[in-house]
Amino acid sequence: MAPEDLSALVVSLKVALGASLIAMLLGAPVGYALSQVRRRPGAGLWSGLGLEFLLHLPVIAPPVVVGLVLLSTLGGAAPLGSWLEQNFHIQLAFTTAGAALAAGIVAAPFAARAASLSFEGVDSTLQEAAHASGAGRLDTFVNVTLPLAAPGLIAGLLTAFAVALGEFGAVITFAANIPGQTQTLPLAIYAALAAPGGEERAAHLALMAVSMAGLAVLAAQLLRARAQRGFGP
Amino acid sequence: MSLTVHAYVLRGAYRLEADLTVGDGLTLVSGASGAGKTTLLRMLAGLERPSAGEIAFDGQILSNAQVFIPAWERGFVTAFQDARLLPHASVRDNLLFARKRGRGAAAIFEDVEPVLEALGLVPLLSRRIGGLSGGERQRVGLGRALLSQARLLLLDEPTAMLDQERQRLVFQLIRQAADRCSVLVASHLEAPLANRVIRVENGKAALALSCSAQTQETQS
Repeated sequence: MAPEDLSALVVSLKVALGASLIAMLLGAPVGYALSQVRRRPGAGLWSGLGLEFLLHLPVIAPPVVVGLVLLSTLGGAAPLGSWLEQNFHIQLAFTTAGAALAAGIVAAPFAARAASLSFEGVDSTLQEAAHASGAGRLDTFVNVTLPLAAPGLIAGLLTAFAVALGEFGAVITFAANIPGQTQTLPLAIYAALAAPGGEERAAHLALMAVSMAGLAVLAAQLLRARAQRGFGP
Repeated sequence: MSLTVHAYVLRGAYRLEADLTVGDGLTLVSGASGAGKTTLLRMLAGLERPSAGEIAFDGQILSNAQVFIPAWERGFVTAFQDARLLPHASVRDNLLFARKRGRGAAAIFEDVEPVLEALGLVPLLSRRIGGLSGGERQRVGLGRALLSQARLLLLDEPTAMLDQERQRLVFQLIRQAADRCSVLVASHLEAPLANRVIRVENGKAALALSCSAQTQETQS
């Protein structure tokens, strides 16, 4: 494996790992809120529509737009971006962290959807039983709700990882295509194709990208199957 | 202790009105299937908010138009008819779930072993919930309640899935628990050991003044 291919793989892993955590941090609370709205007595077909819209916005909008919005809020020239840089020396645009943030926002809806379904699927009679055994709200959330939702949440994390691994538009717009820093596998494929005679390298990189995403999805499937086997009657 | 209930719940066309005061010991909640025994227990546990009226325990108001103390702050523990065990925890952890949350009160049974023996739970301790039968689940659910520090135990059909010999042992255990805290048992069976009986019928729950209950009340 050529050193620059390996570097693209390492950047990809870093970005996807950071992105999936960011996606979970952003997505899980939205997913939880959505599950609570849907579960409320009297909740109808239209309940949680506002949250659903918020949830799907990064999917419906072209990823380039996500990158553009990030650039115009957190870029070096934007007020928030320059404030972060001057006061905390945090630079996000054109960095690995920025690439993770951009990919994380695009992947967040997938994490949120998984979280919403997992929380909705938690047997509410068990939460009630916990209350009736002296467990308060937080205690019940930590010791009953979270463990029951965990397999779905982890599957959501892995899906977000796979999505982030393939993210292109948001990353290249906000973080550019810097080898060794923000050049993930898809960006490296793009760069290879732009160079004369780079088709073979592009094919190598593509194979790597597909294998990585495949592994993540496989891991998510295995986890779901394992959880079903473990909790079943 | 004394539990006073003057309240009703309204759920669609269904209405259950309770008007009663119960003291220490074992109270049997009797009534036909579907009469509202479970609803009464849920109302007392704090799992169902009364539509109107007042519930008080030892002078403390648990529920009225302004106040509603949530289930977990009442110091009551409920055993459900459908056990409701945590599938991700072992039998042992399920059994100790309520005991670990006793908030400093004294346990009903100081020693765990005799309770586990009577319920036949010793061989099950390290088993997973997923592998238990219906009757085993019910015994674990009952054990979770009996091992707690509750000041009031609410047991919904605790012997429904048990064979006769086990029923006898379980009722003995419940009788022992009733000497240390108050116990309400919903059951369509007769419980000869009960201090009093609440009868639930036609949407009303009230004390039934049967002879045997009165006699035992004066004795205790």
